[in-house]
Amino acid sequence: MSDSSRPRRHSVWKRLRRHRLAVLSLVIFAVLTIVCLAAPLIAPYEFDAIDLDSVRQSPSAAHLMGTDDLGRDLLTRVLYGGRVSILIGLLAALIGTGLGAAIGSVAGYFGGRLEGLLMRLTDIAFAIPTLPLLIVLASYTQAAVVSMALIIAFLSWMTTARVVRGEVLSIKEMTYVEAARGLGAGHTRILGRHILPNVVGPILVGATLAVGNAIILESSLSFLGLGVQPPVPTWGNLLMDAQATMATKPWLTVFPGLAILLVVLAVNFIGDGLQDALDPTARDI
Amino acid sequence: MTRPADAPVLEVRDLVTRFHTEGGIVHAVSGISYSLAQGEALALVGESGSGKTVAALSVLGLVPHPGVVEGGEALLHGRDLLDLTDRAWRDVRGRQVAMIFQDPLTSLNPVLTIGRQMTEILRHHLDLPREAANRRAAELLERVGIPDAISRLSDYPHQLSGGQRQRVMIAIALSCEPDVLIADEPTTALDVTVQAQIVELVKELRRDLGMAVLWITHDLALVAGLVDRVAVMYAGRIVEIAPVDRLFSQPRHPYTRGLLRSMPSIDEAPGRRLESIEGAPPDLTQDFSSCPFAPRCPLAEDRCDREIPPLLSTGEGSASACWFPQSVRP
Amino acid sequence: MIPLLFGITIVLFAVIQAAPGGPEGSLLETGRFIDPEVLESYRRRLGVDQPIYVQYVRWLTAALSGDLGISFSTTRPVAEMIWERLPATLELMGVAFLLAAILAFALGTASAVKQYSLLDHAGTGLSFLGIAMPVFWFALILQLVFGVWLGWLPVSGTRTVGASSFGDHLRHLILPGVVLSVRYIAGWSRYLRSSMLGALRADYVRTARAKGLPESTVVGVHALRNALIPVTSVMALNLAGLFSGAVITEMVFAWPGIGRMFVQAMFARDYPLLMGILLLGSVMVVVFNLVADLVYGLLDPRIRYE
Repeated sequence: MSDSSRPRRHSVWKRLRRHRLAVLSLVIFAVLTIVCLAAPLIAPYEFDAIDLDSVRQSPSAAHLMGTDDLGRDLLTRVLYGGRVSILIGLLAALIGTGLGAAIGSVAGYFGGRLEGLLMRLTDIAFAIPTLPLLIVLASYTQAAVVSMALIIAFLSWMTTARVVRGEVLSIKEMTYVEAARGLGAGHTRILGRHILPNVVGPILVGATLAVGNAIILESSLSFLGLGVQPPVPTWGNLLMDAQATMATKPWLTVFPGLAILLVVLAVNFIGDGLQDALDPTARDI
Repeated sequence: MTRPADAPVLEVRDLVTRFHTEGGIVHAVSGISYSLAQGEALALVGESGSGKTVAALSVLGLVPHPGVVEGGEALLHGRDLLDLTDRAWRDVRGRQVAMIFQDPLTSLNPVLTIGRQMTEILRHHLDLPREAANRRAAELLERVGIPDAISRLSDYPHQLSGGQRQRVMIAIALSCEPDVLIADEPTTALDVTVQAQIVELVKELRRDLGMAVLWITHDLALVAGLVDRVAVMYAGRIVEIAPVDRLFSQPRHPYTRGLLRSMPSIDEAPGRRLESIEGAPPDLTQDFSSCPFAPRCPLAEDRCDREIPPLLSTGEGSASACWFPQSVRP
Repeated sequence: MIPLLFGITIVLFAVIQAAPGGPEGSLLETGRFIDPEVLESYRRRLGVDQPIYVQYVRWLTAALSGDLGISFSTTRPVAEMIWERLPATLELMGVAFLLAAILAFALGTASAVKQYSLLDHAGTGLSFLGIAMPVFWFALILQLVFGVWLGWLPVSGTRTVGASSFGDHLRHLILPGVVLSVRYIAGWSRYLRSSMLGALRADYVRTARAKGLPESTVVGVHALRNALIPVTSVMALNLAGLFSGAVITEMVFAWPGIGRMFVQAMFARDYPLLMGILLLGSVMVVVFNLVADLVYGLLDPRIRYE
């Protein structure tokens, strides 16, 4: 198995590298993530350091992104906010995609009534508008990173589930799976060793795109006042605070939004590049 | 402009078409010349990749990207089509030169009715009003042998059989009574019995309407009773052109002979083994400076590796692009 | 479709019951004032002392007859409140849908016809931006630019106080409409582009050209009719997202629709109202999917005759 999959993985990486934008995005995303996670070490100020001598300053050398009503440095707060937003994005994508992959592969592999039940469940989850349901669920909890990630994950597994089920259905019928079954391999072994490694591609692409989606959902919830609560900054609640004074202090609105845009854009480019690299035939010629 | 009665309807001279792909230049058509007299039928025969389809599409200005017609002339009644503006070319297509394609299922639009696909060409070129166009479309369908024509007009392509679809394609091509009909392997995707019916239909229509036919095929056997002359293509060139009977009885190019020997025949002694031509088809990314067939040719000599043989007359309306045409044994 | 709706009601009922301490319990904890009569009628209707499935059946029976209960915050029937606000939301969604469809069709078709042109690259770039941009932030930026700096367009409400002209109302629609549609312009135009690229390479397009038809017919009829088929199903699936997007858009632009009412209901912990709106949103999605199937059949005769 490993012998035959190594060259394939190698060529995927080669094709991805040709996708310059995707590689650039990967670098940008990695740097932003590291910088945000290391915010306590590298941020120029404390995120809640109030400095009444320098309130409402527009961007300057001392405060690259300006300051807010309490004189807090926006750059620092954007970095800290990124910590929360990116963490929730990654966590939610991981859990959501994992859940979707599990549901999809179980449904596709075992089939029958179980499949019917799981796929009806997927249809139902698809039919309920995501954001309103998310708003209700978020209002039930004390918003913290893990609970936010869990809630978002709960509402973003369906696409992965459908895709994985479809892939598993087609792979299940292939001869090598039949052969493994004939040799007496158990369900877990067949699923884990023979089927899942072959659907890793679509799962990976789905997970990447889910990161961007989760970041946007998290910031939307924070923007409505339902996310992680101040004084811990997130990109969403920074924007919520900025809304009232947008006309006089536009930098407070512009920078956190640009941060979201940059990260989500980078993640989407990575996903796009991955998709091309994994399935070069699907590319537009 | 007055022209002599036997002036060709279509005359193609030194046509060159290349594809500029990422992997390099593909020399799909490298300087072919032929002419079609009024009412004449010529077959363009060759393996897939010999450039025969591209040669035909070039004449209609329909070469797909990244192909470009880079040289030569295609004179229709003495007017060079390759110089035409897009607009002028649209007036020629479908009206003076019509084309039918290999796979009638994919060549007909799946989401439009047969009637719509037939009447749009009548309305566009002949300015027929809707009613008249419908009547004419039904007549055309009758003409190509589709029963119950009027009710077929509201059908979609998937509701017809393969043979019927190709008949519809032929009816569309006949709409404006073109001077030239180009048929690109129109029977390849069909069952053998249906193939024969379509060949018969085209023969009959050609006789009745007096249009010239350019029939493109890989199947030499198919054209025996259908065309007047045959041009054999190899590596984007015409390697032999001759009246059909003479080509079969006295091939003057080793490739033609190879094709004939790989063809099953009824009147030959049973038990004869069909021969295939040794070697791989030519790589069209190279610009040949020697005979393209030389690597596969049993008669090849030193000269064949040095110079490209020109297409020279071998008498009685035949020509061969071989340095040693007389050595070819039938 | 009926089993799907049935499943949706079960999930929604469970979600509302999952409120910590139950819907009315969590409400009481907040110490917020609520009309005791309303609370009593809610309890009586569901029979909170009954097992949960009895409560569900009672709720469902009432909902089927159009009775969605009484709002905790206004003591008015939920159905009535939704009915009042629905037109504003439908108008916003409709405008955004049309805007997105028209622009996406134009941009997607043009990008495919002129593949790798400046327009195509610009379209690709903009659509990546459109998809990566949070709706609410785009709304804020538009408010800043067109409302605050340029002063060209109103940034909230449906009409200027004292004005009642249709033109004034249209001006109020522009920014929310654009904000709500941008994601779909981006998504659908890319989707149509790739589907159109496939259609343009199809044999039937070559046939259309061989007939000597003008390019406008070749592209606009022969290719587009085929390219639209896969796009319509994506468009219908996205209508669910359009409803979600309306919630945010209505908040930012103070648009008096059910989306804005939903967020207000959430802060007031008005569970009957939340439930009613969620149910409506889900029913809308199911109906949209049904419409999409019908349109699909209209566009593709191969499906129609099966």
